[in-house]
Amino acid sequence: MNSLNRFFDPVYCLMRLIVGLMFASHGGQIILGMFGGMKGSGEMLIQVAGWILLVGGFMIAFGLLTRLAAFISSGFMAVAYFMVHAPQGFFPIVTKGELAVFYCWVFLFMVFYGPGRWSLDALLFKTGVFAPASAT
Amino acid sequence: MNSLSRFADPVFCIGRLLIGLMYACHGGQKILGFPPGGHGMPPGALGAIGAWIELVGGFMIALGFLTRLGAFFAAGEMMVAYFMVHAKGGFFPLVNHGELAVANCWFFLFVLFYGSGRWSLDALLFKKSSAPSAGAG
Repeated sequence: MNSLNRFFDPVYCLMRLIVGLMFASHGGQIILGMFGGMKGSGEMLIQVAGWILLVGGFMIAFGLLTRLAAFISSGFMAVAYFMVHAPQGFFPIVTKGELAVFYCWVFLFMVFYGPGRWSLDALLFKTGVFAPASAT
Repeated sequence: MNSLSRFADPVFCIGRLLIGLMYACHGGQKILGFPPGGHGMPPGALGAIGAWIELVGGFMIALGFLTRLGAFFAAGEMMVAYFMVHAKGGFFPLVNHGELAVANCWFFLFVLFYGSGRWSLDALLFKKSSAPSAGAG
């Protein structure tokens, strides 16, 4: 199955782009009022959340300081899950926090994996960021 | 930052476990009525196939048993679900409520290419063929 392994980094980069953009669109909803806006977006905490979503999402999508952005976004999603969803039950499917758990773990994986080959990090800082490629 | 990359594979395995289990919950709600709060079995043969892919595929991905096969079917099912159900609701996944389908689809596609990782039944059972991605960690 090594033939499939050759392509996991490009697929990772595409996933990072799509997932990052979807994450950022939640920030767009809160900060920019896109998609009809969101209730209670005037609150301080929601505003902070919105900026993390918007800026962090785009940084992850384009792979700019990926590990830093993914670390903050992942932690933020963990907080969101335990503050908002966890009190409503045990199963994420019941608490409607499945997406929060998903983002939390995928971003945590990104902290460790790094930006991958198709990223601004790989363009800007040639050494040290692109570890997984050399390992394949 | 290579010191972080060393742990990419273990984190991948834990993420695969949790996301696979959450995915299996959707099949469980449809077939077993557990976890609570589901809407029962969807109508038609396609719905039944989807439910079984979610339940069985989810556990295969979670435990890392024939991971690539399970991820292939799961990613395919999520793509069908997105384009059949959600895509007509608008362009943005946030608007058409297909965000989870897109997210799962891409993650499982990554699993298909990455492999099972080091903490998996595949790595236990078939030492040779599933190990390569573990070597990447």
